[in-house]
Amino acid sequence: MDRSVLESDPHSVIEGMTIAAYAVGASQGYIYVRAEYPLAIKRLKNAIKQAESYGLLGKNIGGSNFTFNLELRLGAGAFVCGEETALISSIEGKRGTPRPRPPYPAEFGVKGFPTLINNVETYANIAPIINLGYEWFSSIGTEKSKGTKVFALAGNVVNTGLVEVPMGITLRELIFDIGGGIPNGKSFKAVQTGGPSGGCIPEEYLDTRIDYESMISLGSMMGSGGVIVMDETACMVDVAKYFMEFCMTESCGKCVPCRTGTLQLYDILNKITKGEGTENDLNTMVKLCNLMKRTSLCGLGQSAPNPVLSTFKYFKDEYYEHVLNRYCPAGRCKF
Amino acid sequence: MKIKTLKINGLDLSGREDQTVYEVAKEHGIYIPTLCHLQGLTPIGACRVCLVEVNNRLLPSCVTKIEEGMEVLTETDEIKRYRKLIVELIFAERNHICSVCIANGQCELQDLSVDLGIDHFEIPNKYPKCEVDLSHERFGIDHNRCILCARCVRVCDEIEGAHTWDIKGRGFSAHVFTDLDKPWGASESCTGCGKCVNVCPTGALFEKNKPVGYSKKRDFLSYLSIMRGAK
Repeated sequence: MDRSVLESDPHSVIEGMTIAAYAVGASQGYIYVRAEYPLAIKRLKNAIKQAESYGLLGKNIGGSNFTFNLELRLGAGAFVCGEETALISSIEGKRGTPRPRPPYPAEFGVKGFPTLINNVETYANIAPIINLGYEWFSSIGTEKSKGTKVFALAGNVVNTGLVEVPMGITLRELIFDIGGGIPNGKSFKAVQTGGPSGGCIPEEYLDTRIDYESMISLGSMMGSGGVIVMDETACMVDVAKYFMEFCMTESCGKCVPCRTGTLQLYDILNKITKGEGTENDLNTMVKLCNLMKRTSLCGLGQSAPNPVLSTFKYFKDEYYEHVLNRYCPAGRCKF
Repeated sequence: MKIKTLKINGLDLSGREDQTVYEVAKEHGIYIPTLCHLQGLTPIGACRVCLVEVNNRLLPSCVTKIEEGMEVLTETDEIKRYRKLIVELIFAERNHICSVCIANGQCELQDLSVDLGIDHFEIPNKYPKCEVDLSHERFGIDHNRCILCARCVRVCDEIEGAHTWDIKGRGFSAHVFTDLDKPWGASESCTGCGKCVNVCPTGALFEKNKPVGYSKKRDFLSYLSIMRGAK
């Protein structure tokens, strides 16, 4: 989703960053973008060059004494580099590992300087808000979550792709009205929101209004805005295993709970999908999830158990069917 | 230098504003277990064994600076449970078999598990295949025993200034390595000072032909933090 903003309107991000830099008095900015997004990089480079030639970036912007330089930093595509302190150390040319906060980047950021660090979508929103006024922006959305949000609809849904919707619409509207429902006459089973470390939400919560707080109270999160719709053929243990495998390979390996916890959780889920799980494994699984949530160093480890905890909460029967009866209700797991 | 007052386990204590919760607790005889932390090296808060509770949040005491009016709990049931589980996870991650380990009896991980009362494991051991590098003339590294505390990385960079050690790989495949992944014996930056061996908490780094009791000097850095004074 952020990639599409960078590819289709890089100027909006550059403008937002320049305004933000003026507000906090920064003279140097970095855009951190994955090397796997060559089109975004090409267009960003082009947009920066254009802005510089119009005098909208660089020395004495618009004839004022405000100077702001913008540089691109290419990341090697590590998931953990989305965490702000890991991103900062990657910008500095070090290994992309997070460090404990406080001190927060606002006090101690890039090369030790106070740093303002925000997402692409946030910066892209700044110029329209200043142009049209905050009243306009806060008239959209719910009381606490203002404005719009871009979701990436994917999975078993008729219309996949990016959609921008006002905050506060329901998941049902998003999936069935905009997404066009489930294809091939299948029925809806669950929706995973917020990327690999979000949670799975079952049918009974489809009428929840989407905002930051409600997503967290359901055991998921808004995250990157990824929405993966799953139909009746999805096995929830298998889904949890899939996301845990991602978190396991993307854990940076710095703190113990995340490095070894994801490994242990993946092995337990793997055992269950092979029909070798025991009730004791389920207890260990929940224990490890709680440990990781409470003690991990950064957001990756703290949210990695979300897919497991949410599927175990809403689809407990499915886990027990696997463990007690060696049976996969969705027919996914082969024993 | 400002003095700040705080409560640790209900006791009214004070410390300098640049001190961490761990340092103040230690000064006043309150024991907080640690693994990756070592006095004299930059703390990184990686092992999560020194977690303490502040405002219902669990924070690593080795990097958390004290604040005025802070209320710290070091021994809640939750913390005790998690400490045990974390140490168990470390044991399960690689091959920590004390009876055949060179550091048996001289190992911080072993001591900690005794302190925490770990007498059995609930977490299944992964038994990964790990390498042993004996290419260095005087020293050896056994990755089976490494807990990735990064003490060797930090002591080599911060004290010796050689930066021979670093960590490569992600997640469970992360491990320490020398130079640009050359064998230790072929390393050009290694000065052979042995500080990494001195500070290693387990039997991962060792000196050849020497009892570990003679090669582990984990508190040799204390004088450095005194010399650095207020820093």
